[in-house]
Amino acid sequence: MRNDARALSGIELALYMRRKTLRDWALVAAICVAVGLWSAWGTNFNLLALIEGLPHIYNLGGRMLPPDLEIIQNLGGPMIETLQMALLGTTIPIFFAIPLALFCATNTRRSHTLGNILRILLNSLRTVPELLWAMLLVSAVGLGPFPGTLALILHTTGGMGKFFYELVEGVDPGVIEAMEATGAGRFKVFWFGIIPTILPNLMSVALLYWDYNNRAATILGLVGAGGIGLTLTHAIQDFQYREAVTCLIGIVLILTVIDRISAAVRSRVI
Amino acid sequence: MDKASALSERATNTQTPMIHVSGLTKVYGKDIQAISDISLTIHKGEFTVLFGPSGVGKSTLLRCLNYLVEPTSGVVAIDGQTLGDASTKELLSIRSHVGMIFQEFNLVNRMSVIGNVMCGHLHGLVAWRALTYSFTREDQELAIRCLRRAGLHDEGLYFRRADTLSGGQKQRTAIARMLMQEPKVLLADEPIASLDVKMQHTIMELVSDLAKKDDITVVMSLHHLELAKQYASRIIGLAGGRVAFDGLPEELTDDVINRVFELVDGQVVGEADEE
Repeated sequence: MRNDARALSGIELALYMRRKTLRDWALVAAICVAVGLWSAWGTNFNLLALIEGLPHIYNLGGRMLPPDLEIIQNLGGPMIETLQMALLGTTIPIFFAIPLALFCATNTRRSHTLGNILRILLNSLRTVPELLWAMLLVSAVGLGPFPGTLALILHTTGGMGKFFYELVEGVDPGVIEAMEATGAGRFKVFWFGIIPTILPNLMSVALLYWDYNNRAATILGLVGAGGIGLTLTHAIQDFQYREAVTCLIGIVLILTVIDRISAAVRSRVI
Repeated sequence: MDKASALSERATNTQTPMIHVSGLTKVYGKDIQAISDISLTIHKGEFTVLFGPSGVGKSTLLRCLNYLVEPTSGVVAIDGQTLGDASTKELLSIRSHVGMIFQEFNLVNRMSVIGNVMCGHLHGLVAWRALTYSFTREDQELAIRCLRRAGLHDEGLYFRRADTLSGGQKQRTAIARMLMQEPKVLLADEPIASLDVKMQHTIMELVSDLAKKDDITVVMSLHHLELAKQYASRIIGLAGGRVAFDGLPEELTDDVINRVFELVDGQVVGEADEE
């Protein structure tokens, strides 16, 4: 193949490459269409069903409006609980994720074995969605915001740990070397050479997870793990759609505010 | 022969051996031989410059001297203490008296200048102080003395972040960090390669002054041979991972330089032929 290409020259080569690119694009497009069709078939994706369902959607919309503003006074408590869950679910993992990063990152870990075991642990924590953790923990420690917070902590530790050790691995080896050369031990090198270097990135990741956990905390009520989600779930279960809409509006408003706050903090940190 | 006797004569004239290396070999991976069978004794107060083509193992040799790179075989001793026999704790303690400066300065960019300098005393910092980033009053005072000794007199700079400094100021900060260790030995890896010509002289002058007045034994890799001749008391040429020249600056003639640089090619060809 390469010899063929080499035998061609100038304009011929250009034309050959162009034909080749077109053929490649056609191939990629065909694969995309095939995968799309396969997935649509597997999920019963059907636009007709959607159109047939339109009257029902209209009907549902009617039952949702206007929002029931009377329950607003009952929303404050669960809403604050949701925010508190997210705060603990974000701050506590930071204290786990930093030491875990020290033991996992290839440039700071003491033992390969321990590092790999901890990576598998982090991976498992992260792979199980927080909703699933919450279901498991509710059966372990009972209903309420506590299992919800634990669920957030587990999932976030997994994700944050991975982000953190990748940041550690990205640190300039020269800085680490300079710290080691002063006779500083492993922890001091990490604490003085690495942490200050990646601090803005650490904060950025923590803010990202705070953002994420505020969203995640709203849904945990679905399995009885506290927060505004519980109120929402009850409303839907009781067919009180007007109350449910009020909950949703509250959630959207609060998340928007949080978004703004975290964006403002982020722009200061970086 | 004459040269060897001249060197040994000088060795007896100068005081005690500070760095002793014998049979030092470092192999990276399976078969990349960075340095092979290097034996050297460097005496207290000597200013030794390592030169040779890039990739010849100067950096590796320097890093073997404080075990940042663990040699594959051979012995390294600093001031009578053998690094290979030392426990981790002892090794850190030996290292705490071996300063090191680098081509790229290797400061913690987001830390203040004085913070960077105080890092030179991390070895002696107790755990709770390390955890809370609180150095002692004595450390702060020593850091200021070190900064002044390194030629940074403008106190307005001390609390600036390290990445706001110029190249020369950065290297001075790195030198102050090294001084904070109260070192017996300074390992310098191309310390002036990232600086402008004027600053190169300034920094060489400073290091030379430290070597003389503060009694620091210097081992420096350097590719500016004119500067090497001007400041060094001993010059070692490396070729193919071995010592190809070891003598006084006066003995470093163009012939010798050419021989050191050609030897690499010669050896590589020779080895390839043998295999």
